[in-house]
Amino acid sequence: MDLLTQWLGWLPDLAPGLGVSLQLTGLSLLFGFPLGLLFAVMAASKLAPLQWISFLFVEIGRGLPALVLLYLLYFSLPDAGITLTSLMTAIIALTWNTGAYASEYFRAGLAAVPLGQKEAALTSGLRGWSGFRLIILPQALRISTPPLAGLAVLVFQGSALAFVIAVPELMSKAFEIGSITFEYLSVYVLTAVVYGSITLVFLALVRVLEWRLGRHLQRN
Amino acid sequence: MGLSFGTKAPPTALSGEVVVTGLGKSYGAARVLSDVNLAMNEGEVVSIIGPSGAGKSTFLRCLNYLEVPTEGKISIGGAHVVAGGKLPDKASLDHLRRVTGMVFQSFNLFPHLTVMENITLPQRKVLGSSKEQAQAVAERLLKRVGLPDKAKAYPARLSGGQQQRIAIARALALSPKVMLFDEPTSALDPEIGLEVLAVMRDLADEGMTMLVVTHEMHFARDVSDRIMVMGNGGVLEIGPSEQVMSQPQNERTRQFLKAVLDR
Repeated sequence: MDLLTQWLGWLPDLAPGLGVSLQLTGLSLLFGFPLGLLFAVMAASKLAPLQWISFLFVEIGRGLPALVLLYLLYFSLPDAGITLTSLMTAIIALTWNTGAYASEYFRAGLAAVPLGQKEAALTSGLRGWSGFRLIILPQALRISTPPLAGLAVLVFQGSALAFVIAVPELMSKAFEIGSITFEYLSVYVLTAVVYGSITLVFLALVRVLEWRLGRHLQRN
Repeated sequence: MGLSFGTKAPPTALSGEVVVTGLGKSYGAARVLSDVNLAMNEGEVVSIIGPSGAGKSTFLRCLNYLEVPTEGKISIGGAHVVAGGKLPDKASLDHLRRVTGMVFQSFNLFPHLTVMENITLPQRKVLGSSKEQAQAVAERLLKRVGLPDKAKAYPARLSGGQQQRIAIARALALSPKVMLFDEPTSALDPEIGLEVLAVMRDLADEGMTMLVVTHEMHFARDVSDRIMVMGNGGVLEIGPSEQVMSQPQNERTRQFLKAVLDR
C-alpha cells in the first residue's frame, strides 16, 4: 500500500487531534507567559510575601516533570471537589509549567537591561509602572524572546503528554489509529512529521520576529 | 558672580537656585561623602573636578536621588528635601527630579525608541504634552544641538557624540531649572567630545544653571564660573575658575592639577 495514500487517509482523523494540541498549547502559552512575567516581577518585588508566593509557584512548576504535574492535578482536583474536563486540567498543568519556566526567562531579560536605562527613565520622570512598561519591559522582552520561543516549542511538544489523562490531542488520535490498524510505526512517523514541521515553521516565524524586534540595534 | 563658601562650618543663610548644606552619605561605617556645601545662583555654571573616588559623581547623583544621601539638605529650583538615608515622599522626589535634568557618561538613550520618541515620550508622560506640542519642542531642541535630521534614527545608528547631544536635548525637553552633567565627555574620544562641549557652552551662554562633573580642564576654566575641587568624599576648595586653576589654595588640589595639566 502506498505510504502517502495511507497517510492522507489518516489525516482527517488526526486533524481534530492537532486542533486540540494547538488549542492546549496556545492557551497554556497565553496564560503561562503573562503568569511568568507576573512571577518575575513578584520575585523582584520588595515585599517578602510576594517573593515567597512567586518562589513557591516557580519552584514547584520547575521542580516537577509536566507528566507528574498532570497526574497530580488530574487525580487531586476531583478530591478537592473541583471537576474539570481533562483538557482544562491539562491547560492548568501546562500553564503552571510554562509560567514557572517563563518567569526565569523574563527575570533574566529584566536583569539584562542596563541599570543606566532605569536611571535615565527615572531622571526623565518615568518612574513606577510607566517607566517599567515603556522603557524596561520592551528591552527585556527583546532579550527574552529567543528563550521564550524555545519554551513555546517545548510546550507544544509537551502537550503530547496530555494523552495520559485522556485529552483527545494529536498523540491520542495517533494511538487510536494505531490500535485499529496496527500500523503503529507508520502513524507515529506521520505524527512526528506533523509535530516537526509545525515546530520548524514556528521557529522560522520567530526568526522574523526577532529580526523585527532587533532592527533598531542594527547599525546599518 | 557666585557665592562661595568654605567647606567646614555650614553657612547660616545660603540662598540661590541650588542650595546644598551638609550633604553626606555613608554605607554603614564607610563614609563616601561628607559635609558638602554648595550654593549656586541662577545661570551659574560650576564644574566639579578631582581625582577618581573623590565622590564627584556620588555628590551629583545624590542631588536627584539616584543615590540616597544619608544627611544634609537639598534645595533646587523650589524643591526641598531633607536627607535621611531613604527616598523622600513621592511629591518631593518628583519635584526634585522635575527641576533637574541629567546627562550621563554613557548617554543612556532608550535604544528601542527613535531619537524623536526619546525626546517626546517623557514630555507626553510627565508634562502631559500633546504629540504635536512634544514634537515641536523636540524639533526645536534637535536644531539647537545641531542634529535636526536625526529625528527618525535609532540611537544605535548615531555616533557617541551625536547620542550625547540627543541625551542633552532629551533632558532639556522637560525644561529643567538645573542641568546635571556626569562626566558627559568621558566616554568619547577627545575630538568627538568637542561637539558635546560646544553644545554645553551654548547652553551656559543661554543662562542655564549647570553643575558639571568633568575631567575637561579647559571647559572647567573657560566655561564655568566656579570650580569645586573634591577629594576623599569632601570639598577641597571652591572658588572662581581662574583662581582655582592658577592659584589653588589646597595642597591636594595643587597635586591634582599638576598631574592633569602636565599630561
